Amino acid sequence: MSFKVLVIPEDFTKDEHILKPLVEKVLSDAGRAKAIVEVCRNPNFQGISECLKVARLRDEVVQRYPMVDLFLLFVDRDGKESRGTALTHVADELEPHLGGRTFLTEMARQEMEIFPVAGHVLSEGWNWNEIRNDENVKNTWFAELAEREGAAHLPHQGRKKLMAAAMKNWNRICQRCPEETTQLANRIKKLL
Amino acid sequence: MITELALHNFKSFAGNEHRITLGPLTLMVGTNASGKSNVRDALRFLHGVSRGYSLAEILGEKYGEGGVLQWKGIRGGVREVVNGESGGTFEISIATSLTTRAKIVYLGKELFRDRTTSYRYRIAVEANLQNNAATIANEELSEGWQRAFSTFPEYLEADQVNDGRQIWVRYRNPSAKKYLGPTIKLSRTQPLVSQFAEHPDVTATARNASRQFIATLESMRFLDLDPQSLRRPSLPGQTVLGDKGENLSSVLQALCEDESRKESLIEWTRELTPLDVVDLTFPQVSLEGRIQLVLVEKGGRQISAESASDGTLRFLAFAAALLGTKPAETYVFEEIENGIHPNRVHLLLELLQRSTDAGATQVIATTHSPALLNFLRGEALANAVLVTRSGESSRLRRLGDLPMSDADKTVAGDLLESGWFENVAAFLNADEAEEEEAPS
Repeated sequence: MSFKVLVIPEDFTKDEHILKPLVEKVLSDAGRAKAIVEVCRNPNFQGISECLKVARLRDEVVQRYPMVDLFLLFVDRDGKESRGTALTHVADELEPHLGGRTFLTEMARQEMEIFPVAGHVLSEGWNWNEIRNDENVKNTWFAELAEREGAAHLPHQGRKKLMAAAMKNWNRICQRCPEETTQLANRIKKLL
Repeated sequence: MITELALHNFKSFAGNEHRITLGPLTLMVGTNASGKSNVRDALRFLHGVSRGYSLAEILGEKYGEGGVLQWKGIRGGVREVVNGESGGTFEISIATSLTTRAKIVYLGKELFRDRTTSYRYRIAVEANLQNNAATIANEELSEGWQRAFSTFPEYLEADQVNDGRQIWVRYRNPSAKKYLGPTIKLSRTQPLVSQFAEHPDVTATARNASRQFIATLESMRFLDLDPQSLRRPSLPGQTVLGDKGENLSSVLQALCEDESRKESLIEWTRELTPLDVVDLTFPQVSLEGRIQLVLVEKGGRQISAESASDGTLRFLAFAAALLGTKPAETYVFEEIENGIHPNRVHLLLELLQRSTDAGATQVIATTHSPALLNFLRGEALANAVLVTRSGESSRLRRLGDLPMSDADKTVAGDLLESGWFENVAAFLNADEAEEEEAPS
């Protein structure tokens, strides 16, 4: 039986183009190269407050997808120090309803668009620490990268194309974003 | 951009003024026969006004040289344009804004400044069912806070009485105080604004205001796409998409001359369909030189417009209209989601919002798609319009004016599907009717 993973984003319409290749590679590094990774389309929470609601996650995700082995709630940190605690609380509350399956949480520091940026060579004058801590990566650094790479006119502001290019520099992404890549792979490896 | 529309006694909108504000993207929802298409008819009427047609042509038909049909009239013609069986007067009011870029030279440098001017226009038309004729009952235009012209009696002398063929109008003279400019008698069979735009004897102020207002309406396009028209080969150089989607192949060919636009079009197609499209080609398919769109997949497989799915062609037509080199200022689309899978309609919304966010294009569209509404957020959701039928009349409401909680706003499509909007509108209509009846 294949290992099935459901990634739960805040809004799949844009995040899926970044999360699917990223999580597939993380799983590969965790020894699950053949995992089937899908990004959750229903429900589409469209906002952090909705996707932190335990009852919705229990009824509309955990129960609706009984075939899934690993659920991965992957949201933006948005510069909020309390986001990690909130995610831990959600995972703890869901534990009794999982029936032996696994529910993990992770957060992009500070927004999902950090990953395509991390995989590219930084423009002159860009400082990685500044980018990594910016709560508005999407509208600043990512938007500038999309313009620089001639991808801004593409669907989803070029997320798909830019992430595909970024994934060719996986080591660079791991070096710049260790929590969401190497450390996440280690967490998964230990659990499974 | 059209910012507001109000209807009085027009088609299914009986009696009192029915007013809506319009945003850069305005989706109209409502059950069948609720009146959505009548809003479209009102916009088409105004578009006919901007084209300089007579009332008979706007409501009936307009033929050009060689007997070619140039304009298909308003559905139902004179007989059905007024609410009620015995004819009477209907009124349409509209507010528009026009942004123009002016070049100024400051300290030897060329600078550009955007200037936005607002217009308010009212036209009241009397439909006579005895002779199937329509005549102007009243009409006025304001530019900013200044009235460009008006036929309303308060602006006329007591002895200026209208007859059956002509109507008195007072128009602005910039050197005169208040609105007391000169008066003129004009024909009642053609909207006055188009007469003013071409009249040699009126003031330049009134003429230019009329021309500028017309400019805000004449770039409207009404697309009601038909798969057969989309598939038909077309001649290179025909770069305007027809209302039914005619010339799609040649419009796309022109768009693909720009490599960046071509790449964008291919990526949109790949997102929408499971096809692994890598190229778009346009081979000649007839002796007279007509071309037809061919989608080329990675393995070399070719899919012509003839065999492409209806949904793919419709999406390509939207993309051609919105991503093309000369997009219209306002597009009015009917049942925009037709042929597109529900889990792909968010792509359509992204395409629309990308165009409207850029500021140059306005989109007004009807939809029955709960999926599309579920993806609508913020201002676009608030600007969506619910059209309902209450008794003998259609009613218009902004979704932003309905009592929706934040949680409701994330599932507006589900609310549409379940009929919640109709329930709530019925309660609100009842409250408003009681308020109107209550003694003041």
